[in-house]
Amino acid sequence: MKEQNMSIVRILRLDPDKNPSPYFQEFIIPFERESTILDSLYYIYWHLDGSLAFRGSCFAGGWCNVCTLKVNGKVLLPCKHFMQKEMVIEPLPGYPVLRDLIVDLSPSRQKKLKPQE
Amino acid sequence: MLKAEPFDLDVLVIGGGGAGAMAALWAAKEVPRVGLAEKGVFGKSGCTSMGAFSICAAFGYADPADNSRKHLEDTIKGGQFLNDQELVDLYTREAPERIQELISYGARFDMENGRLKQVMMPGHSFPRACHYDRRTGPMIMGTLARKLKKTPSIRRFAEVMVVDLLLQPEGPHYAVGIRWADSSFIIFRAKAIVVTTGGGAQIYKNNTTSLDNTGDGISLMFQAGVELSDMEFVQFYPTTVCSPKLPGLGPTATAFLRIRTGARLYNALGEDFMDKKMPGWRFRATRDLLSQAIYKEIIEGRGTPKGGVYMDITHLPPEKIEKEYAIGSYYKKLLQVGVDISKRPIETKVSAHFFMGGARVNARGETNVPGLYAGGEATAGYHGANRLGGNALSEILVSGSRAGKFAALRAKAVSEEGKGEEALEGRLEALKERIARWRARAGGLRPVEGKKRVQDLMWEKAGVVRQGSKMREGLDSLRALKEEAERSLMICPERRYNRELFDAFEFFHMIRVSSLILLAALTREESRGAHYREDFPLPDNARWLVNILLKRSEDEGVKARTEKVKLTHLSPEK
Repeated sequence: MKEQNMSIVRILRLDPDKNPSPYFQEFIIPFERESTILDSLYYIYWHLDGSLAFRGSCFAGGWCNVCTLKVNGKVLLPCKHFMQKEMVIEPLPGYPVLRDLIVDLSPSRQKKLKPQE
Repeated sequence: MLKAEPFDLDVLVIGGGGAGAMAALWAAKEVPRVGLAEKGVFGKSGCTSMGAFSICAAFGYADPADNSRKHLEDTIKGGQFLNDQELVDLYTREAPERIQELISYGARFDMENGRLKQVMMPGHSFPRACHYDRRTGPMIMGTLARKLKKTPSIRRFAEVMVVDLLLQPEGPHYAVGIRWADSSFIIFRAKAIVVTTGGGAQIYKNNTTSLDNTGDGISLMFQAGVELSDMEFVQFYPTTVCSPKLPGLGPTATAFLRIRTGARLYNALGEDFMDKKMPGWRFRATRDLLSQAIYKEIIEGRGTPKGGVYMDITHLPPEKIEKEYAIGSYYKKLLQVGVDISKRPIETKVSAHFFMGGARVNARGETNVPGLYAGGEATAGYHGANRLGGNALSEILVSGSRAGKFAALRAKAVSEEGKGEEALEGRLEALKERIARWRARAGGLRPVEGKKRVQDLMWEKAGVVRQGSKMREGLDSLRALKEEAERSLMICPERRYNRELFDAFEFFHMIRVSSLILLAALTREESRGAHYREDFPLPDNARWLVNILLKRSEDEGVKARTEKVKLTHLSPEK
């Protein structure tokens, strides 16, 4: 595949069982104009790394909101935005990170779950 | 880890969508110890929050001639007389009360002259669809989640997947869950269990449901000896998003074009195929008829390059389009994703949407296993062979509340604790070994790959248009896939938030549910509602006004039987 048809995705990962510090891991995946950022995470999970931890339920653009993340510095719903050629993906800020892109979303913490659109 | 003390509960509800929330709330009115286990984030799992638009109930606000009897007639005609008429009677009578209950919890609906606004939906003979913008489902789920939070006697177990049920006719029931957070087991011991885990449209590659909708509860109940009914009936949604993608508007966003103003539907040759088949179809054609028509255009080679058909409202004046689609900023939201529906058609496709089949329950929501109840999409009977649009969101409120209430009443009446612990230990050991085997393999079938194979296979072998020989091939393929999975399924070893662990269980549920659908669909040698067979293209009331019931046999096989539908409220016209 030609390079321009690829996307570089850097994901901030953490597994407290192995290492207490988070680190960035880079993945290179096919760029599809009509794929969302959440589709990209699912692609990585499926084809490249089955241990990637992230949430996603409705996959339909802002119905359940559980996938909310920080992408390229902006808090957004990855199911609602198309993927980009370069993405830096981090967990939702302001919440304790439990693993990879999973933050503590227990009910008392859910109040702030409102993406900046 | 396995010796963990069980959580002792009066009622355990499994499944955290709308039906589960209602079941928990109603159970909590009767008993002090209610648990709600859900696979997803609290208040976010399941498909309730994906319900875009309509929730139907015969308030008669828009037309005073409407009443619950009329709603019953429409629902049974839509279900092609396979509904359990007693359940439909209860549902249509109680639906307005349950919506009022939601309002008392703070739910908001679009209003007109100080009353709930009600609009027409296809298949209904009166305008009875209430709505809140195009966010009715999220509004309902949000309302229920807030109410749950305010009910301290309901203990919530979020991101817990129940993977085994140990049902004891005499004693308490056990449910074994796994916490996603750290893969640990959690044991529930409950005097009654309510299953509200929804359907399983994820078994099809094109579907409109949330990713967690994998038939878990139906599969678990079957395995535990619950009789299932109507599994052959899977509703396909005729006009879902195909191209362009419309992120943010929901998978059924395109249907709004058809429902609101009536759209033209045409194939790649430009033929208005619905007008040819059924003049005046726009408010008459139910989802099953439309799905079959669209599917046929596609498989007979008249579809668009992306595998859909065109839907078009460009013949309408732009002012009308802007006005009609101002609701929920629909027109504007489409413009934001680069689609001007007044200027161009969009491509739309068919997707699996809803299971009419599930656990067979009575008016109390009770299955054939004492103390095991079910509500919502995991049940059969309310919608017969085909569900009308707008009936799901109101049905889950009714069936969920009834199941919760009667489960609690049973819990009150029985007093037994502690029995069956030895059997449970055995089950836990088996589960632990199974997971260890998956984790130990260095190579093999990954759960997500297995799920994809089920989805492709079901789409091809048991999709909108079915045929005996293809379905038999499908059953053989599923059997082979299951053997391969038992031999070689592998998951990554991570302990925390391991997606593959849940995917593995879901994959096996998908295989089981798919096999049951194929078995039922092979048994029904006619076409009715959502079940269309090319080799038996016509309905046959003389022979097939029956429900197909499936139950696990002693030798781990399936026992199928049929039972005549009781036409207590309405009979087909001769």
